Amino acid sequence: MKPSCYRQGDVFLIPVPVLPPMNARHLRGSVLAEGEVTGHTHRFRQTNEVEVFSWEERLYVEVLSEFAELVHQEHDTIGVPRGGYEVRIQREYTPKGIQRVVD
Amino acid sequence: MRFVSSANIHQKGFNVSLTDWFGTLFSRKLKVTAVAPPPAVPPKLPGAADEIREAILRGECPQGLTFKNISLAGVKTPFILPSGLRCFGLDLSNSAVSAIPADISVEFKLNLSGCTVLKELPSGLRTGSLVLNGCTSLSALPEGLAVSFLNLDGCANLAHWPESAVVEIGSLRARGCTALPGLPQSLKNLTNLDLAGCRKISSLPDGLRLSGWLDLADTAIVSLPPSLQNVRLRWRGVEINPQIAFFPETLSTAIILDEPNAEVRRVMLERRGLETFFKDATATILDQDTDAGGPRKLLKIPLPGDEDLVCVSLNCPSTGRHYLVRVPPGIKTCHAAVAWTAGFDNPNDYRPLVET
Repeated sequence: MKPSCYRQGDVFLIPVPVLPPMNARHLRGSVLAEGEVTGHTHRFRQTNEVEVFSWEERLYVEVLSEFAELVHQEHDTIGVPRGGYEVRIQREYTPKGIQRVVD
Repeated sequence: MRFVSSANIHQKGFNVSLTDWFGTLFSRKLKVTAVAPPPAVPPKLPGAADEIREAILRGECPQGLTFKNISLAGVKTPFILPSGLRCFGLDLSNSAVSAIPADISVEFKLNLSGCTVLKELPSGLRTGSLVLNGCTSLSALPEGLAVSFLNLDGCANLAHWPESAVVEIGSLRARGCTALPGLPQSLKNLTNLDLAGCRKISSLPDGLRLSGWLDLADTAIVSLPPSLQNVRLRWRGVEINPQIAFFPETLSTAIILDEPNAEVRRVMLERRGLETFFKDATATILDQDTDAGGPRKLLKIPLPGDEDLVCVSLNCPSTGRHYLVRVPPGIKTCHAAVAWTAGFDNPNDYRPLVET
């Protein structure tokens, strides 16, 4: 049984036991995803409470504080506890293949 | 929705540049228009913004004061602004301010966001940017108002907009002004116009021109004046075409399902109506249950000569909006469908702790 996950709209945070290696690409800021049409963002309120990584075409975030607030212009805020997470964006099926939900 | 990348992050720098441009614009084009002329010899100024703030709160601030930026944001005790106050920016957001002096002069930005006891504004008020969102006691805009940017979001009791009150050059936001019956004919040139949720507004001024976009979600607008025939349209922030805005009954099931953008498809479904959509498509219900957003259904639509179209229909827990996400045709339950959209091929691995 895998641990529970957090969901804010079409963004999921899945706890991971191990974070990417040190040579993973660190991304500036605390934005996890942004809407292409709306411009709305899923981001952590305090940039210094998280570190965001990109590794093998996947996105990860490490929460450094006890809780970090994941905020969005329309969705309710989620307090995410300390730890490492894989960031997933909701996917959908098409006959031509699987794609990320586009908004 | 897309992952953020380094390039995306750099857009923040662009926003900073816009802010600089914004300030430059007003320093060039919107000179102070004072109702009362400045005193020949300005009064001696306290040394810091904090001292100004404290002096105003004590009621000991001299008249005719000139200062760059003043903030009384969040002050919940009643206070009176001094007569003849002149400044570049004045932040009174979420404060207990109940009146604005008639001779005030704010060159760049007057922020009155969340001033719920403010009932009226002085005639002839002129400033660059006027922020009034959440001023729920405000029932009318003042005569002779002249601004370039105006934010009226959530002014639910605003019902009167005089012809002499003008917004020019910049943007007008009026989301959720549910009592506002219309806009004055004096509005001519704006960048963006956001009227989402202004249910009483059924028409726009003829001659109004927008260089940006018009958001007309949940208004009563069913057509546009000639001057806006080519304007870009939005529905609560989502860019849409005129067919979605004005002819939703022509959105066939095929058109909706062919739309690749989930947000646009959501608006299409909202305009067409989910029940109508599935009725037209003769969908069958494979499964139904409840999650944090309310009832959800797994629906199947047979497509001749193609694999079945299976979609999970659910509501966002935060906004209540309907979403429809297509999943592989072999899925049998709502839970398995949502788990699959999160990347879990085994539904037992998907146990959301918090959903918003």
